[in-house]
Amino acid sequence: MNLGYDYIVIETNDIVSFLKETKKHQLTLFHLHQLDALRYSFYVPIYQRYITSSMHLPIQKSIGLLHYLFLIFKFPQIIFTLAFISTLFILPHYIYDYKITGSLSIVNNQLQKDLNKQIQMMHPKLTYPQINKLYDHLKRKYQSEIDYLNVYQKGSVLHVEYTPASHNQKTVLKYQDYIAKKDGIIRQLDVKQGNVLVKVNQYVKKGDVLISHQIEDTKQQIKMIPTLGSVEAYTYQYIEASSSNVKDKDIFAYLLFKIRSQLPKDVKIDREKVLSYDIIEKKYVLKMQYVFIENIAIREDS
Amino acid sequence: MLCIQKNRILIKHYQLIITLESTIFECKMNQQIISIKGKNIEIRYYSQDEIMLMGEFTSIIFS
Repeated sequence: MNLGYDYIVIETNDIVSFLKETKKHQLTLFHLHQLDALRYSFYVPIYQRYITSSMHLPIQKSIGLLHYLFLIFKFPQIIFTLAFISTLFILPHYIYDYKITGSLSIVNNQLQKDLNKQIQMMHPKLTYPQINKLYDHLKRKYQSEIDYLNVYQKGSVLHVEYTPASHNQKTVLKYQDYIAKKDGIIRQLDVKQGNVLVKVNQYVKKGDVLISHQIEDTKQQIKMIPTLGSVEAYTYQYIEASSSNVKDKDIFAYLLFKIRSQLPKDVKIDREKVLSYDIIEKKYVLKMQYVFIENIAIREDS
Repeated sequence: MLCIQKNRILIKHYQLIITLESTIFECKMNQQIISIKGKNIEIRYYSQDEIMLMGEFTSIIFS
């Protein structure tokens, strides 16, 4: 099987002599076809192109995989070929970006400067000992600012992740109850500190205590404890919108958009339901019911 | 050696082409001249020692 062919058209009045010449040069022909009285066309395998050239046969066109392979090594395709090869094989062996993940902007800037100094642009990928060395260096340098540090490479990006040292994080203990800011059904509890008084799927009303700052010990003495947490609940809200512009064809879409623009921003929408869509006193009225998922726990004094 | 099918003839170990026209093909082979007659005779494949002919053949004469 040949991977490609050159299409050749020749002009001759003695095809037999030409074939004799071809046999002498050991050239293989395919589909020899007489176009008119003097012109003949045929295909020659591309790998025999050196014979074709030596016989000065004019190539009209080429077909097949080998032809396209040869094409990519010609100018200007060679530039794209080199660019492609370098992108595919060479660039992944270098680091050309850093990604620092952490919450302290001063440390981030300092780390950026350090990395710029230690790892120049287009630096070859780091080996495991080099990563360990870099880790040790950063850990030693930022000992007082960070607790957890992770250095790793992903693709051509060097990732540095850290968490601030716990003594830098200011935590103020608060001794207040968390109460429900609206009616709802408890969906999820995330309580770090405090005495939880409600359960998942429990219906709570506005003002109910969700997390208490008081707890009774075994001696039945009340103790004060700090509280911290959040309580997610399903809450229900009915919103109504109306418009008197009766001629408008997209009135429903308009009313829906009007309602949606009124929705609170700090909630997740769990369900959206059309309750009614009527004409009341020459007005289109759309009534929607929404089920939100939101944090209903607020501190008592806030 | 000749391999004959309905519309194609493969000639192996030929020595020389004598005539190539759309109605007649002649070549020398083993000190014999083979004459193939027909219509629309064309060379499908041609190499140093093989020829494959395509066409509507009517006769093959060895002389």
